[in-house]
Amino acid sequence: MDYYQRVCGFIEEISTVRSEAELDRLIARILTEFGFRYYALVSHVDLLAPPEEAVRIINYPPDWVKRSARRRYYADDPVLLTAQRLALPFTWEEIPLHIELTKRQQAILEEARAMGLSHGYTVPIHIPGQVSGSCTFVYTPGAVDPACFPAVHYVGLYAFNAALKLRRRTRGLPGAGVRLTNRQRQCLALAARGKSDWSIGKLLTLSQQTVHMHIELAKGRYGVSSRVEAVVRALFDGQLTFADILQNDVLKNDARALRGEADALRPELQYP
Amino acid sequence: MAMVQVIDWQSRERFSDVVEQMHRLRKEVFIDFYKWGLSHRDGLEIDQFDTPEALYLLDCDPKTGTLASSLRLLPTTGLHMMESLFPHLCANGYPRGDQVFEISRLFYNPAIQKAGGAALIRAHHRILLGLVEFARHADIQDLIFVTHAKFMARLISYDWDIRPLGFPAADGDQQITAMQLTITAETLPNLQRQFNLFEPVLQSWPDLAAKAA
Repeated sequence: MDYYQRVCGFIEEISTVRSEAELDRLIARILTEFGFRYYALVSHVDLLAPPEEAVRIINYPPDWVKRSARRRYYADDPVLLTAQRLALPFTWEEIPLHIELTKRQQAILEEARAMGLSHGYTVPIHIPGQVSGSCTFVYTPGAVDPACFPAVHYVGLYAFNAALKLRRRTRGLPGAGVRLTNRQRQCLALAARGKSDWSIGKLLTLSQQTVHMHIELAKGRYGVSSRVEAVVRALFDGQLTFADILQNDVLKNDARALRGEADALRPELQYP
Repeated sequence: MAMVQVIDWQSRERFSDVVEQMHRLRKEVFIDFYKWGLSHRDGLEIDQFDTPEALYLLDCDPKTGTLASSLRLLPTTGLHMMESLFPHLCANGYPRGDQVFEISRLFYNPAIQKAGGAALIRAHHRILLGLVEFARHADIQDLIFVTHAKFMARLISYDWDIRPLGFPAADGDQQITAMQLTITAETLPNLQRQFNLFEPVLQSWPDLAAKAA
């Protein structure tokens, strides 16, 4: 098989896909052609309570899915952990090279093996400003030609992207996602640092009521009922980054600003 | 707020300070930081592909004159890297012609890279929008380039038409991939919507049609 041509065809097919069911069919078809048995495209979030935009396309044996979710295996699933650390695809055989497996993690791998999930090829998905994810493709040795792995790498990248875009579209979110105004973003970033509306007001030279309004509007845009959820959504769609929330020098700036020293503010915080 | 200019061999004179800053930053970014095996002289990184036919996108802060980011465009009708250095990355050839350009030497000012956060994301969005705006003005249909395989996920996440030209190949301890970006009438509005940036970022550019005549 000309793997490159086949994957070009797949990329073309999914560019016009309209539903998750259709995407699932296309993924299943190409993976079957390559000799893979199971697949799991997942965002690395709490699988028991995933946010709406999380990707979750899995055809693993239902018993395994139920058991691993109930026993919270995903919390220290060695495959997901390795995917968090690496930028490029890896086979499960390489996992011990990257992480030191605990007894529990070895037990997880053993249990998976017993359920027919013995060999896998995992594609990490890391996009700055977004929650990470991975695509894992499970096979039995001998059923798959390793020369197809680069093609499967591309299948994972394009399929995951298609799944994410579909989630955003079908959840009633516009294709580009919710858009916050600069003020909404600034207030949310400071709220994420644990600041009260009063402190935020001091830092941004706004009244406490105005800050409260901006945060309420941000919550409204995401359709959530708490500012914590709004922060998580904003992190997920990239309008807030961890750098926005965790930069140490801003804490220094915060303290100075609270004491009334106006020049301590970051430039971005000074524009409306 | 920085603005993007496109310069060619003729307009280099007018922008000589920024051009020197570009070559200086290229040395800092690609040689000092990324440790690429490139040569440099007097603190400037210039190679055989910085030809008279090359175009450069420069995102400059109009107040300070500081370069936020830059990239190089080479016409595929002349000397370019895919043909000279990376033909093995293309499984089935690649598009060439008057309307196909090759992107290379894309970088961000180390100060912005270090600051990260919103400033880096905005610089990122500006240079990409500047590139697509220029492609529309200059009637460029395809852009080809080589990138590290680890960047593919983010490149694919943009609302544009991007395909791999072949499979990744080893490059030292990294993996690199050739890709093709096809510009359509939808590319610019799609990106503007995705980046929430609707103002034009391109300030000036050479008239390619006049050059060809």
